[in-house]
Amino acid sequence: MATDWKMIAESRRLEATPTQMETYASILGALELQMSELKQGLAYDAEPATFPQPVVGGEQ
Amino acid sequence: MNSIVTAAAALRRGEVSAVELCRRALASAESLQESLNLFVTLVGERALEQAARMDRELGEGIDRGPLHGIPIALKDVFETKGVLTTCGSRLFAAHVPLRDSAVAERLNAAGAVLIGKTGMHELAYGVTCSNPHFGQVRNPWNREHIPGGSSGGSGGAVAADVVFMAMGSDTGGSIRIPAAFCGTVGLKPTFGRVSRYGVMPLDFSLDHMGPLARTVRDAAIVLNILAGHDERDHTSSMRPVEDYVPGQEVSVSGLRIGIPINFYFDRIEAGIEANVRRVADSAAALGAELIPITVPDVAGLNAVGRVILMAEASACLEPYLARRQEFGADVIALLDQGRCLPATEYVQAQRLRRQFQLAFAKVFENVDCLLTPTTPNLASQVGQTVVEVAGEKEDARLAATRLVRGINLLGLPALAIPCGLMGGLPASVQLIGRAFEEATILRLGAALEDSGAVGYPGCPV
Repeated sequence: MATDWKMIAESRRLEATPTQMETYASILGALELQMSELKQGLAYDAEPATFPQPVVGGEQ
Repeated sequence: MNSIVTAAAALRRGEVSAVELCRRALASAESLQESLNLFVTLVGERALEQAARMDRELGEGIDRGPLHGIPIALKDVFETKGVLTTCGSRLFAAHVPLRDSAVAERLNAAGAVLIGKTGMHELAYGVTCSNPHFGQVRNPWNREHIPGGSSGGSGGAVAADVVFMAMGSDTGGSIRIPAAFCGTVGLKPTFGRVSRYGVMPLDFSLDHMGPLARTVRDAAIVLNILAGHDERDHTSSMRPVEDYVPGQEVSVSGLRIGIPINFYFDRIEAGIEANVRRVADSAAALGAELIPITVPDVAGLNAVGRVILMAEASACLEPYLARRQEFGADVIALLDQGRCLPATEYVQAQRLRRQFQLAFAKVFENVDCLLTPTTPNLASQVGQTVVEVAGEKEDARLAATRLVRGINLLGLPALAIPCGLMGGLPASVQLIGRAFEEATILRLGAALEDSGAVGYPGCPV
């Protein structure tokens, strides 16, 4: 189910205007679509993310 | 005398003094300020004093190396002790640091003469340098066009021959985009290679520091000075450094260059594609092997990058978010969006980032570097929010970052080099290397430069 980004934006009390909220909802909605497709490649396993910083080249 | 190498030689032959170089740089910066707005702060008196000191030292036989007496600039994101450092933001309009950033420290110790702090996109969070607090920074090739960003003042100051080198920072392309739009070389080193200490952060895991210069060897000289561990930056790499400066005779014989067959040449201006493919052919003529390859889903990587950047930037700047009115409209919009993202989305983005890093590591098992365009389009006009690229309309910010953003997530080194002019604006080729293998892409860049296939086109300002 698609997220109601406008509601989330309102819940954050951002002091943004209604027009800005609409824009945010549109941008975040598009990004969510892209992410939901990518997330299908994530399994239920213990492989961790590497954050906050990337460990590049196998070591720091 | 348009490079650090030639200026350094002239200084040692006594044909020019550091004070003369400094005066020229300051005069040029001042004369262009009204039309291009490249600097936030000029430090003329301090620079001339430092230049005189460098001249005295050379006279006494003290030689600090290739940057001794060379005028440079720093993006206004690098803290400089006693010198205003605004980060292009009203929040820091009166911020005079008590410390030097590691980058400023190292350049100072190497004898470089800082003449000023360059203009930038507010908080380094954008590519247009349309700064509501310090004014629009303009492109020296055509002042109706943006210089790219966020390190636009640095790109403009190098392109317009004000300074020999200016430092930039790159979170989603902010060194390589202004390098491309202004026709300079721009080097984003591997994450962890150059210390982030004392650099005002936009993000925790994507910020990289590197030089914009007029030649590949000049960029390599600067990397030689900046590379190395710094215990004050916990992400700083312990890996040993090497000599990054390519020799006079460089060979790329047998170098395996990956030419992506997906994504990077999709939807780009035809002239840019022609220029970049011409550069690839030149590399082949020099003995390199061109290998067509399929790269992982870079559009997906870019989406992951936007999630991580938005979440981290909003966290990074959270202490200031209550001062809403002090942000420009585009920046507060991005910060608002970052605050809307759920924690789960950020965590999943980091997991996907790891997958992409592994997938790209496989790509680099078969090639030594990738050769791609830097940007799909030329510098857009000031105020233009939508661009048309290869017949399709696209958000100007997303177009400018499309071919560069993903590399920040991977932490890999990347080098932008000018590769021709189209309608009076520069085009650029990007070389992407394995982690900590800056020397490989610098060697290829220098070989291409020596062959005449790429290079600073000489801005007519």
